[in-house]
Amino acid sequence: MNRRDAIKKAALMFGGSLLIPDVLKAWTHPMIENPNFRLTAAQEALIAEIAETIVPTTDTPGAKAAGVPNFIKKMLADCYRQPYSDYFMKELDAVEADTRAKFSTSFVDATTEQRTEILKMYEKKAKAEAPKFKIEAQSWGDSSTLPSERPFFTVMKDLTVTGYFTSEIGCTQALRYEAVPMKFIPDYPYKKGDKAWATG
Amino acid sequence: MANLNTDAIKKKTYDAIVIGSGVSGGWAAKELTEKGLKVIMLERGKPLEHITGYAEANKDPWEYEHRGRITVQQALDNPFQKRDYPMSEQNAKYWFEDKKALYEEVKRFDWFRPDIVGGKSIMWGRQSYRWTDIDFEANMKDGHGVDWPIRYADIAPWYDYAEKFVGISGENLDNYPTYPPGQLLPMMPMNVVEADVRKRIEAAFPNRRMTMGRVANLTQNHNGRGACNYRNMCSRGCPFSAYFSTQSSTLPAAMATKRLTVRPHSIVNSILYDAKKGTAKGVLVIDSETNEQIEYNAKIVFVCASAISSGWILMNSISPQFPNGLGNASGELGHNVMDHHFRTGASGQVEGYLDKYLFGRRPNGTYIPRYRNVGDDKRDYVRGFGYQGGASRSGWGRVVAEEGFGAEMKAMATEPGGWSMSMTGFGECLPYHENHIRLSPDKKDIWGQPTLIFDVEFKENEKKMRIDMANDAKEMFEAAGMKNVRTYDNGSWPGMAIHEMGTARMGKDPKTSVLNKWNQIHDCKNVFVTDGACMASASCVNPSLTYMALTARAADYAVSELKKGNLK
Repeated sequence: MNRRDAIKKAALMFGGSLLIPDVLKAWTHPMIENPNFRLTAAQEALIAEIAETIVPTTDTPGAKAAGVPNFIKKMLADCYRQPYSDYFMKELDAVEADTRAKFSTSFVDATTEQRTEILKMYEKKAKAEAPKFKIEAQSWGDSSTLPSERPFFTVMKDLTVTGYFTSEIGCTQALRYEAVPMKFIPDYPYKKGDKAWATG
Repeated sequence: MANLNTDAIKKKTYDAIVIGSGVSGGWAAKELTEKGLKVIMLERGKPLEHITGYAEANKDPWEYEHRGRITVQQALDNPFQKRDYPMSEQNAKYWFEDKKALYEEVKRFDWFRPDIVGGKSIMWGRQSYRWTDIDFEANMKDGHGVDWPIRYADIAPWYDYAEKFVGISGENLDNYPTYPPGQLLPMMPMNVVEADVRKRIEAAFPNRRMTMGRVANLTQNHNGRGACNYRNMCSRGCPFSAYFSTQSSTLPAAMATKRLTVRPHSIVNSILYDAKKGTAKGVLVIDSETNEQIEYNAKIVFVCASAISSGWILMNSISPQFPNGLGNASGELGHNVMDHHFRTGASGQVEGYLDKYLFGRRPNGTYIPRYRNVGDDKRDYVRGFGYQGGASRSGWGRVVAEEGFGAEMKAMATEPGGWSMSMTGFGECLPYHENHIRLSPDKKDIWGQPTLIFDVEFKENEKKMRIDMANDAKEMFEAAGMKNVRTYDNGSWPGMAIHEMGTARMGKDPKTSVLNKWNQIHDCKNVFVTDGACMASASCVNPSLTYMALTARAADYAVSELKKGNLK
């Protein structure tokens, strides 16, 4: 099944072409890389605050201190195709617009409660839209080392959590990290509250 | 060969040529040089120095800007490899870029090609199992393929020989017909959950046993190499020499003889046939960097380029005597392509053991050797499968798929989750004549060499077996008291297991096989094919140890025949 067929089939499954998100229509164009990916300063700040809301500073540093915003930027530029990053940035702008409409403030200036309410909305939306994205993600590639193009919040959370728990701060402060264990202990003692290992 | 400028060809002469530097080529180089031959080992990939060449081996997770994931550019350059996990940000430099030699798929085939000295011995999974007579007699008994010209007794001493050199950790099981005893180092330990599941499976199923994988990772210092440090980063290359690779093991042995020359960047175009003598006189190489053409001559040639590439070289070795490829009087060359089918099994949760965790990252898992269609057991398919698996506590990754974010999610992710266990079957694929590769009549790679067309598929026998592979796993996990046990089948396409084999099979009859019982081309006696190409059936066990044993055995025979003057 080629790309066009996959999308036609998706249209049938979801009851007609009107239901195909714009992002999938864009993907019917030939494969393109993402050489001109740029974020505005406002978008960068927004990404940083969304990431910090997903993994906040607690008794250990949060996403911003761990360098997660830069990681997300790098991933969007290198590991997602342009139609996807265009969609992602549109959703970013929508997060900002929704925050302003609902709370008359920018996401960056919003309280934790307000940010949480907005992101919960996007989490719900991601769940509803997941099946539409699944088809495109599969036709692009099912590798576990190729990031998959999923709804905005799913990818935002995945990149934040992955970026955080594989960062030096995440590995060594939020988790435990042993670069060279030298031995394997199959019944190592554990008590509630002990940290998880960073790498499995 | 019409496109090659023969005036430019330079001639070089050795006692033996080894094509390929992976598991089989490394063994051929070691054995032939140790027996006194002057050898050149030709490798199409880049040089890779042991330890100092492993630039990624000591990097921490945060040193990877994509944290292991591949980029859009890499995916575009590797339309086949992007389908599955083996190529990652950490080891991408070790793999051959698909775009340099694209291939056609009548049916989907995932071909993983290395691009380094050492071949796939650097990235391999290291599981190392012996065949048994149940495997060697299978073709004869159920009529698929052709009978193997050898039996377990022929190869058993060579398994001993290979295991002692390689250093394989694992366990010998008593009275298990598909799991003959080996020369093993102490096995890696099972964790508490695996040890309990093992006991319960044994209690519920008298003819099934769960053991630790036999793996070519050292559990103690061995032959001057260091023990495993339990980092589980093997595919980047091991700075402790703790797993078997060409670089850690066979290459140092061969170099110590001072009789080995290694030539990277060397694409073997063809084996050159001398019609007067009725033997091969050498090979024609294209330097992948300069496009220079060089002829190397030798008394014997060992073809160890991997099952698919060895098939390609023989098919591309055309002469008036062999218009359809060297040694292809039978018409079987390029046919009978096999791979294991896998990615189906079960997983489940294990309650309790929350006061237990692990220290260290074991580069190995559990193994249940084949029990189906053994003894009185009879299924609606032939042959069988084994299981590879393992138990662990989940880590931070589990929160990605779950709902929620913020401080609560973060706190949850910093502690391990509960225990779960999963396993996947590795099933035997039958040798079907129609499963084949052939040279493209018109498409060329960037060096002007013909590319391949793959026409290989799994069929009804494999499909039926997969039902058992899923259901048996569930049945065993449920008997072990696990909860929420679910079967899965993620689909399996030929090539994916990277256990491809069969393009130049061994057999008793030159009319139906390419190689004889010594891995020698029936009608070109000084050419030996000892990698996966030689396999007449696939068994269900990981094949590399068998290639090692067959290579050492063939090298011993080749040198003895050479001394007797029988290979002129």
